[in-house]
Amino acid sequence: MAIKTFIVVLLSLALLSCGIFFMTPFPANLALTEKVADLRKVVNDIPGECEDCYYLHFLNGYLFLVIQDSQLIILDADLNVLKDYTNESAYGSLGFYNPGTAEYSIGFRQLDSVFVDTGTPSSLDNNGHGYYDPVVLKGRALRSWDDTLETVEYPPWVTLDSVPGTIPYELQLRGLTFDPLSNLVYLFFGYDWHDDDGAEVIQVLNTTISTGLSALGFYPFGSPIIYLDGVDARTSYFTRDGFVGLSEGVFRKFDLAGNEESTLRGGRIRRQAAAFDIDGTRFFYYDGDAKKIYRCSTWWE
Amino acid sequence: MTDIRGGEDLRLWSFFLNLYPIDNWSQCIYGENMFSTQGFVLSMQKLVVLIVLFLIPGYGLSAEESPLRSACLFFQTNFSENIRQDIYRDVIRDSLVVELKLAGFRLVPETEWQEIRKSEGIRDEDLVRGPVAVRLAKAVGADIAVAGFIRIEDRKVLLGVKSYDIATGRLSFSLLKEGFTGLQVYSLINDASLELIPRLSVSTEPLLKTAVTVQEEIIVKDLFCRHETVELGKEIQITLLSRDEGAEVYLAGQKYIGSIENGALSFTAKADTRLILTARKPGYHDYKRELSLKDRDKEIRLPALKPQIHNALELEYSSFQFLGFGAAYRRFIAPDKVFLRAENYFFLSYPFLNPGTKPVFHNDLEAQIGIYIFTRPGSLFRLGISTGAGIILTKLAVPSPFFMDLYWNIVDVSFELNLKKLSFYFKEEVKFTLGIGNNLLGVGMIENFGPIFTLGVMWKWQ
Repeated sequence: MAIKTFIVVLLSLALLSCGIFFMTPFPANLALTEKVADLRKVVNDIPGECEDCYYLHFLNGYLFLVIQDSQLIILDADLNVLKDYTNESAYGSLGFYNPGTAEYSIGFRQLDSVFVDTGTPSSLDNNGHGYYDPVVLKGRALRSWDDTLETVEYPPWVTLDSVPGTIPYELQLRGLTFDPLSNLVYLFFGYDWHDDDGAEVIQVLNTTISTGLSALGFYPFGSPIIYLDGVDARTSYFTRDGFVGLSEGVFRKFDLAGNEESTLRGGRIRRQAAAFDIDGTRFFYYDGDAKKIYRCSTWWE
Repeated sequence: MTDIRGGEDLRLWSFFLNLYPIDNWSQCIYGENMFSTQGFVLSMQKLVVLIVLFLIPGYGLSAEESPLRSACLFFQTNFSENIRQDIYRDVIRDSLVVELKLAGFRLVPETEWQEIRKSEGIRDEDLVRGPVAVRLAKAVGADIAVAGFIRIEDRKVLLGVKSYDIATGRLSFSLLKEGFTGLQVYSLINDASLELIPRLSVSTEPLLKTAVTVQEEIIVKDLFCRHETVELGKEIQITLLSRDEGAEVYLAGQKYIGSIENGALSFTAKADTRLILTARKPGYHDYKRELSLKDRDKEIRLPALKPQIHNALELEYSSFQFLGFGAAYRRFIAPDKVFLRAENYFFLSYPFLNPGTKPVFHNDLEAQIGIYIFTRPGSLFRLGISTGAGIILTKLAVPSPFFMDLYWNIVDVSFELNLKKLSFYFKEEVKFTLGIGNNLLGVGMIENFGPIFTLGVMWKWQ
């Protein structure tokens, strides 16, 4: 009798926790890795717990890894370190490449084609998110604070829009991706205090942004909201195969309607950053806990 | 010369040789000139002397036989002014020797104590002093010391004799007598002997046997103490039945009452009592049971003794390590209680349902020390805790170095279903990676929305 009871209890636990038994304590991207580089000797230590301290931009075939707004590491696609800059509060979430000027705008700094700091600081807020508009040959950045959404264009640096009351207070712009093929800008919004509660994606025409978002009224500016459940808006990305969202230990792939298609589960990585090739064929992933950077293939067909 | 009573007797004869020239004496013995008148008269005198001489030693024959004690005779002192009268000292000394022997004493040879006397610078006249005589006699292991002197003035002989008990150092006898020189000296000797010898025999006689017996009895009675315990109550028969052949059974864990033979052990006990039985067998855990006995014979079947487990082999499966399995070996350093454990868990990270993925190989090596708590070896369910350290080696399918994640297994809590040869367990582990070296997990807990759970099975043997 005791043995039977024990077996029943075990089976119950097994059924209830079968999902747990398929996880791995290691990063979910390990099985997708094409190449890995150890950056322990390069990346500076960050004091304390800082989960929003890394940004990774894949621009013009190069990687730009920003560490806590103060360190910039530039790598090629084979993960070889090309440059390592340390400049207090000089860098941030903003990162885009202007092929017209062959310059990279990373936070407050401008870098030339060989990644030399031009010495010309950007007037854009380093916590904004930017892209290059190939139609008008301009760089464009957006940022939000409180209920205000601001758009800026460069060159020259011109504020296109900055209107309070545009977005809900608790919702903030966490990222954006511009698809030059569709001319759509995908804006990723997330809530301040619910990191993994999901992302809300608004797709807006590039021309609308250049006109001024405030002309469209209040969020979501007349566009349907695409909900991405269970991901962090700060690590949500657009690919032409669909949206990708990362949270601690989970990589989720959604279709363009926001329906979850596949999931990759791994160890909980609290400090991470990723950059996806817009074609959806590969991505780059930085594990801030182990200071490793990976080049990975994507996990969907 | 015919030896009449040993060599010492020759000394007596020497007296007469001095009185009667040797040539005359030999003539007397060997019958030369025997039948001359002068020779005959002299021979008769000698015969009388011989008879007298026999009488004197004959006194000793009547002495009661007694155990041989040793005696030292110090009779070297002659206070006479004429040293030629030393012959009287010698005669008296020789007589005393005979007397002491007849009294059952063994005389310490003079050569023995003379050596010591010379080495210590003791003079002959010092030997009449009690402390000196006792010390010298004690040095040669004698039981008594007899010391004496003579002084001859004109025709008078002054004889002084003292005896000492060496064991106590006490003066046991003393006398001072006067006599006359010539043959009358023997009267003096005789008188002195009559007084001395009995006193010596009394003072040195062994203790009466009855006295010794009394003493012994007292000692024996003091050393032995017998206690007899009389148990009251009715005796009943207890029969223990067991399959553990040869198991020893004890009462209260200490008093051995017997071993199981042919499956049983019978013994008697008092009715209406409580017994604590312990069954013990090498390689098995003790079995203890308290019995309440009634007023009738009792038959008790003992359960099989639980074997002491020293080794175990495990197979296990853990969450977060789906594609793989672990094997471990346990060595119990305290049977069924404290163990050392070595584990190897090999697993893959390989979400093969997703295209484009490649296997990642992991090997987890861990060493632990653990203990069972709150539960006994025979319990159906057991609770164990352990701690340890390990390393996870990782190798990607693409060219890359080995990654090593060192960790500390903070605590491992296991809940077991403890069967005879098998145990099934469910455990929860809390592991903390140290972030040392070329690692993949950094510093922090190994978890995926919760601790690591493991199911396992364990084979146990002695």
